[in-house]
Amino acid sequence: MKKLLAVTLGILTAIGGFVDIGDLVTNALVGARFGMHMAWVVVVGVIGICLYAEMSGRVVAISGRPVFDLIRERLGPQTGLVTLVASFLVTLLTLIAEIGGIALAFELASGVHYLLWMPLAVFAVWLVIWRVKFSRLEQVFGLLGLLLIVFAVALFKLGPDWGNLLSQATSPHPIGSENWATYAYYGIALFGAAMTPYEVFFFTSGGVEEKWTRRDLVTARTNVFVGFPLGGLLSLSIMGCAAVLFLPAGIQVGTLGQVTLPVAVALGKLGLAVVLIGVFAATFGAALETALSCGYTIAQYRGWQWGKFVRPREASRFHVVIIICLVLAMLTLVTAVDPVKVTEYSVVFAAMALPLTYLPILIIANDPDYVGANTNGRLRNAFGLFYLGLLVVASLAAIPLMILTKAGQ
Amino acid sequence: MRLNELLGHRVVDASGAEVGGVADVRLVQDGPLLAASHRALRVDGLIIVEHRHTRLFGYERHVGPDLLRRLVHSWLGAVWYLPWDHVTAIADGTVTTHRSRADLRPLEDLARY
Amino acid sequence: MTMAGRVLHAQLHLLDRQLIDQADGHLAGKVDDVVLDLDADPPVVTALVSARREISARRITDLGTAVTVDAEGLDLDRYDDRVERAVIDKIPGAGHAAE
Repeated sequence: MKKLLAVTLGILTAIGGFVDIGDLVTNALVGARFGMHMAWVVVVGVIGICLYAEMSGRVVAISGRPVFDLIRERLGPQTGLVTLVASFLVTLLTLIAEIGGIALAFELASGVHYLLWMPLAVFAVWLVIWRVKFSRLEQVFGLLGLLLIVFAVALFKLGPDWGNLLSQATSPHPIGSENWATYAYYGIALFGAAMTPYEVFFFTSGGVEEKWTRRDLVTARTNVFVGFPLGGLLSLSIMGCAAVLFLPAGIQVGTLGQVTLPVAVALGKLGLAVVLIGVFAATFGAALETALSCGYTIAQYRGWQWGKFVRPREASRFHVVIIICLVLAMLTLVTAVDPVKVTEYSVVFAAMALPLTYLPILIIANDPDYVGANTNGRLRNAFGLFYLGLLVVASLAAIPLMILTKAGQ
Repeated sequence: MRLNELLGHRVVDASGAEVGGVADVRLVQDGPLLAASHRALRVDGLIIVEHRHTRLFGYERHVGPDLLRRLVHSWLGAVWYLPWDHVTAIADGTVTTHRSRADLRPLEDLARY
Repeated sequence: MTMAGRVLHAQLHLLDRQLIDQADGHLAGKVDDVVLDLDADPPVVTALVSARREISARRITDLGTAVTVDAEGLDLDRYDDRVERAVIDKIPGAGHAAE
């Protein structure tokens, strides 16, 4: 049990990256439009985030420095500020979507309009950040989010033609009326979501909150190699369910209700109840992850005291940033903007933030000043450089593709 | 003088030709005693890069990955070390040395640490 | 700072590093600039600058991946304290550890 609880930071981090509200919908949407023909992107993303989360986890365990400290130290105040603005905006847009997602999960469960649930969701997120210990927050929402495994159960229950799914997964190309532009756009969106910058911000700041030292290197690694593949598995299950149920029927997915439908079809009311709790936990967990990351990034760039390991009054500016972000999220959602659509635009900012976030991690994971004898080996560096190249390509292609495909339409 | 001001200063050699720019300042902790056991950080010399970039990303110290390091170095041009006693004057955004460009030592010749 | 003769690069090892208050381990800003006295013999680092405050080099107690300083009397937390008084202290639970 203790071992299980030790990996909840990785699980919660991965939930924010792979099955937050934007990804829940994107995974189902991609499954419905492309079948499993895009599943490989999730696998590529899982390997990439494992690689870089392991490096940053190693740096934080040995040196105590979270990722945004590294960004400012190696890129300097100006380039660091560009990275801060871009990654902060991705994180804030995602936070807005998650708050909407929590409210939508309540709407699905209660029938009461989501805008009425929204202030309650904001207050609950704030209260948890204000009062609940980091380790408890991580355990409760990490473990509850695992209920989304019900998508994997549902996929088995739907009794798909596994051979067909596998042959789809091994032929990476667009199908039907889809073209390469939309295929590439969604590919980049999935890849960008898998490697979204706030994952490493939250993961490494979480390492500091948990007071990791050199002795926790194994814990850091286990978190990475359990958490992220699990997130990828959930992501693939959702895609698979949509590929089985919606693709043959030609149904387009655009709402959270449709995402959960395959579970209801396969497992009935009980399944639906479980998936709704899972969706609630995942979106709530992702809301905590993004709200905290908004505070972590700004405080770490400026050198302010941050974290839940001190009393709120000792990290006043950190808590004020989080409160302001939550208020901004509420004000944005009051305009009745579609919470799911909000994350689509975060791709633009993610494009700028991705290479600038991961470059300093790669450099510092090679620097004995930070990691002593535990520097990257040749293989890790080769993979690290390959992924850095992928991130640059993705970031250059993201905005043109978004314009070309009108955000994937 | 503030470090941020010194970084990016032009470096001019004895013949008046521009050599590059100041990218970093090498400090050695063997200056005058500050407190019981603390010694001051003494300015030992300047790190000069040909293409006047002010960010070396730590690559002057030969950490990996190799490919990235080579990329950064090709972008910086030559990297030299100018010991403090070779500096003649610092004024108006320019560091002057009485050595000629051909006599400058590559930073690599310095013992790695 | 016990290692005499240690070699550091001012920009790489000092600039933009996290400052830590030796007294309570709190994070106390970033090193925004470094003051050099180039006319002294030998020329030395005289101070660090953070949030427009100078921190004398005498106050540096450790140089690692962060810079630990003796911040007593410098009031490096002044902006945080202002926010604390204006907002955070008015919210119940501000002085309690999380549960």
